[in-house]
Amino acid sequence: MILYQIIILVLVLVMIAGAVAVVVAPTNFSAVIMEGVVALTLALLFLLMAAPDVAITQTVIAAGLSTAIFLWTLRRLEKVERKEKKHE
Amino acid sequence: MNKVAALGVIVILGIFIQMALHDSGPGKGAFPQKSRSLVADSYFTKSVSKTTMEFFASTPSEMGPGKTKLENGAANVVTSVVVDYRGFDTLGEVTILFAVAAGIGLFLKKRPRFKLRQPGTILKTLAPLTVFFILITGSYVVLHGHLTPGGGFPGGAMIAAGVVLLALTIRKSMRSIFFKILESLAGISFVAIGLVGLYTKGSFLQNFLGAGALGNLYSAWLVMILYFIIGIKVAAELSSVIGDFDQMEEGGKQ
Repeated sequence: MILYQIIILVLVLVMIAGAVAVVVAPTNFSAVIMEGVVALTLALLFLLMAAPDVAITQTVIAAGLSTAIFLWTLRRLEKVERKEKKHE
Repeated sequence: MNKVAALGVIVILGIFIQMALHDSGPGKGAFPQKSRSLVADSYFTKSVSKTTMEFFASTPSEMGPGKTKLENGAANVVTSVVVDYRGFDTLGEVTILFAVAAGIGLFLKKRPRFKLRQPGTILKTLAPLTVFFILITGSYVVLHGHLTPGGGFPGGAMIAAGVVLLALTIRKSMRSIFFKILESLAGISFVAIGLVGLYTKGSFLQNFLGAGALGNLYSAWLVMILYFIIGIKVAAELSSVIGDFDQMEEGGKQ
């Protein structure tokens, strides 16, 4: 039981650290990746707390697909920025 | 200033998580206090912390394996609530997904296509292997939704992830219209099954197909068929969203 609580506390600490890292990340790319780390840690927490249905959904959608969509959008935005710089 | 505000939001969310850890509700929290024992508890935790035989040994005899006098016969109680008892809510959820996909398709207009960026060696070599396993896992999760954790929503999203990988590797134009037709057909058949329940049993989305034997793959017919349809619908919707994003991305190269 003690081990279970220690694992959960460590995961929560990792999650908090990841959330702080999203804010202070130097580039947008690393912020998106850290956001995926937070989502994956949350999925592990769900799994440990006996909610596997939610854990599967969290892994696939929050950690997988939404990270991919964020990255796609980010690349597009960078391209737009570059074009605007060229015009100036 | 923005970063300070964001850190404040994180601290507030962290306090909420801390509160959830010390929650005294009937769930399995991190620091459990006295949990109320409910009949539903054994159902909720059986597929998680017990093997099937252990579970059946501890339940009354009329609920044992292979029993047929059940309401819907799904061994996974979450699925039976989501698709059967609260099937109407799920219809609303699926409609919201449809609205999201339609909105993204409306706003990300297609542009003339230019040169595509070719995938790297790692992606080209490994994608065929991984796509295979991702698609098989997704189909498994969809088809076993009434027995094990998972179901149409996560399984459909897994299939969509496989489609993303394929789209990144093959780099040919994705036919969005195919996904949209598939998705509309799935939505129509969802409502049609609900209407058949209304016609034969008297209420929308009622189970008219029988329960089957608890624990078999071919049991809980309504739950199984509806989750199959939802899986197709979610996979098609997310794939078409990804396709729209992809086309926007390609259109930007000039």
